Amino acid sequence: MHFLSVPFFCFLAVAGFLSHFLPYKQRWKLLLILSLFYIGLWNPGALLVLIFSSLFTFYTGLLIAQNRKFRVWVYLLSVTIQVLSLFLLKYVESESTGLHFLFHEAGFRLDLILYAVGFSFYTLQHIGYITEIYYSRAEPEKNPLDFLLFSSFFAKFSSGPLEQAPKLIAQFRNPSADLTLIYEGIQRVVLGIFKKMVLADRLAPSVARVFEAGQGQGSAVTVAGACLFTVQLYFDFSAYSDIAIGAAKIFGISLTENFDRPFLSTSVSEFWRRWHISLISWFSNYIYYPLVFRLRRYKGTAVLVGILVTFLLSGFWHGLGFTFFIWSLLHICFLCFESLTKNIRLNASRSIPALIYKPFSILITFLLVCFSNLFFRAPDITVAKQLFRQLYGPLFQGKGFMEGFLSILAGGGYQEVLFNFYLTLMLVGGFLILEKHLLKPLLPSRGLFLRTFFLVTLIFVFGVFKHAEYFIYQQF
Amino acid sequence: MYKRIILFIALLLVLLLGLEKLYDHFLLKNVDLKSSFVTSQPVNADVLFLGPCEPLWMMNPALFQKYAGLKGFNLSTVHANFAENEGMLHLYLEHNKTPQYLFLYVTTESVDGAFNVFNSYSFSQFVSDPFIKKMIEAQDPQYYRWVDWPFMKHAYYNSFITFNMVQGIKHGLTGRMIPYYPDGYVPPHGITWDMRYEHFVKEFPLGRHFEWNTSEVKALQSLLDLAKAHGIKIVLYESPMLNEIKPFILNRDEIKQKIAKFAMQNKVPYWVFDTMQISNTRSCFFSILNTNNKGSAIFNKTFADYFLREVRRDSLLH
Amino acid sequence: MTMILDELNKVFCRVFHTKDLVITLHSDASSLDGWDSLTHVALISETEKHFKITFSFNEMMQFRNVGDLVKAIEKHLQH
Repeated sequence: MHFLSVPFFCFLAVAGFLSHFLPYKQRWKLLLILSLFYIGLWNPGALLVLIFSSLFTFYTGLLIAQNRKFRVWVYLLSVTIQVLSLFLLKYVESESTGLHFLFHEAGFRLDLILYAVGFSFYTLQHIGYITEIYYSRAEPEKNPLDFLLFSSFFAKFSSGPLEQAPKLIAQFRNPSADLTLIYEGIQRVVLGIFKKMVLADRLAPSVARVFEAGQGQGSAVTVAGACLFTVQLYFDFSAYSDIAIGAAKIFGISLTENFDRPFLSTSVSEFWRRWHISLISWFSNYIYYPLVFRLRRYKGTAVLVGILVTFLLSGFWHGLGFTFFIWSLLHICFLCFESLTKNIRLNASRSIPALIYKPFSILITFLLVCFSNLFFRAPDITVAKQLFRQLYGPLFQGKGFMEGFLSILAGGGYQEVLFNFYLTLMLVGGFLILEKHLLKPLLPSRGLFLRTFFLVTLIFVFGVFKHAEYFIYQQF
Repeated sequence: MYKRIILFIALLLVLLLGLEKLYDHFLLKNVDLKSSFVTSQPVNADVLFLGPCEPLWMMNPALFQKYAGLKGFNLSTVHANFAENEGMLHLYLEHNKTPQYLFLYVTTESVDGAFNVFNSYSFSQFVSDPFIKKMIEAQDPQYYRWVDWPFMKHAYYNSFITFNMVQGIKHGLTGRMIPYYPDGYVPPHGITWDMRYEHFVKEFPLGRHFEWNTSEVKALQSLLDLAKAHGIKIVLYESPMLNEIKPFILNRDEIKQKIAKFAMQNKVPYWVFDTMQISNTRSCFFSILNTNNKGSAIFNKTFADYFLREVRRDSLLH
Repeated sequence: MTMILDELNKVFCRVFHTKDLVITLHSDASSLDGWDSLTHVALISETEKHFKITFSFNEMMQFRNVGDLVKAIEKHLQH
């Protein structure tokens, strides 16, 4: 049951309706049953593994808290097992290895079960949980069912946002009684559907043409493709978060925000504070800070090492391919550069009027991110190299603006496809300009009614219905 | 709150039904949509040219009329498979005088199934027609699941449809009755060589084996049956193709024989124009299977002459 | 408390290369321009050097604003 499917929305509506009749204190039971049902429907094997993994984490958490003597060992063992399962997942995922083939031969879709073992998101949350306990920053949970719900909560199960157990479990036990949250939730879900179907999916074909056509394109179209992909990725992934956050809100649960209009960042480091926030804060809490705090005597070097390790791991988390490696190397370079030029940039920002400095920084940051995404999106290293070479080639590859640029992005020079392409650009541009206002939830009023109605209409008139049940980020 | 949600859903339903009517209306007003054009006003041609893009860009009814004296209409649509051809023929026959002849383009690609498709969206304004609906069910089951929901028949493929609707508004407001290409023939312009040869040879350096796809053949049979039921005389034909490509179509002779056998079983002629002089030179082609304006002029003449000769020989009387 | 805050202000000015920075107990990364994960470490190690103390790992992980930092410094100075 994908997020963008009629069954999911029916599921959500029925669940929301049912929970309405339950006392607040009892709702977590319904959520638990629904979540287990949701995952079980997707893959019963995954459900078993999830239950096992959650109980394992839950009891090691208790053990670490109670046992003074062996806690280091229990902690290390538990983390090792989780990391190994993550690694195994990534290994199985990459088809280049013979291992993948082997599991298919085994016949009973072991690959899918292993997929669940290492299902990146809940493994990361489990590691976070026992680490908090190990450092005595949090108390272990008392009830295994609570913890199971934390791991399996259907709104955030497959792709986050990543949460801290105590914060979420407290909410399960005591969901907000504020009815306006339901309105907010519905608005968020609609917004997410709009972003995915009207914006991300309309951009997808243009992006695919630039990245998959491969040869002999001009630099202009390559740059445009990278930029459009970055925008597509943002809409695609933030749409997923919107639906997750919105769905949770319907049950009175507030999840962490995952995006904060990242394209307004004035530096790459700021970008990473506004993009996929929950994952980045996981990486900074459990990788970056522990590392740099220990190395803090070395000052600048500590930061550089921290960036290096964090982003290499992040690149690995996204995929084992060489393209992801280059992607992380690029971000390491950007961040190291920013760390080294911190003072120069700080002085510059003070002497140059903000009206010039800020838009300029935003533009540079956006282009750097787009450049790195050239490697993130490229299907393999050969294509990536080619795209890179194209950047230095002629602007339109010796053809005119129409043939060498516009018709590649629009998918031909016909009136019809150009109409569609301009329409997409207008929708995307309009949305980015109005995003700030659209993200602000309205209280029940005529305004809310009209806005939601307007968005739903746009979804029907301009949304992409075919192949809509697919999110870029779910593959990670 | 429930009252609000129910009101919202009710209003949405009204809106969607309204949009559906609006799209239906203006799609039918769009005379540049061949399907809408042939159903909104009688064309009443004597001969029809049918097939995917190749005849669309090659068969010029004006030339045919000049040489053979019969009024023609080009009913072909882009990338259409036989099922789509049949849908178009059905819509045409519903609203027009029955033509005498149907010239249907058939080549190795047509029976392969990998090259042409059923473009369901071209029929969204005709879903209420049971014949079309049945066809959609068979050809595009995923789309079929949605066609009865309010507005979804247009929304599902809206990026293909919205532009046509907007164009329909324009035609409706300006009262336009004549399409941009009045006889359905779309002359290729602004294109000299489309690189299809190069792409094909790169993808299949040793040549490609073409498939005798049973579902395509079944659709072809069904198309012939529809035409026969109306008493239309059918001619299967293949226009000239660039000789350079022939070595890369590995089982061309085999498929050609199968088509010939199929034609014989159906008692319809099958004309193959692959020995024409123009096939030797790229100067008459812009693509592997498509002649350019120069090549088309020559071919259309040859075709019309051949037609007249066959008519004289009476071989077209079934 | 205010004395520590004044001293800490000096550290902040040094790390951020400015003279006219005034911090309060509620200042945090979002209110101070340029305070991010890259400068955070420099800030902590400079603070340690200035006050001649060493924070524990857990303390460092729990600094959310200047107030947290001041409290931790106070604790260390009392010992």
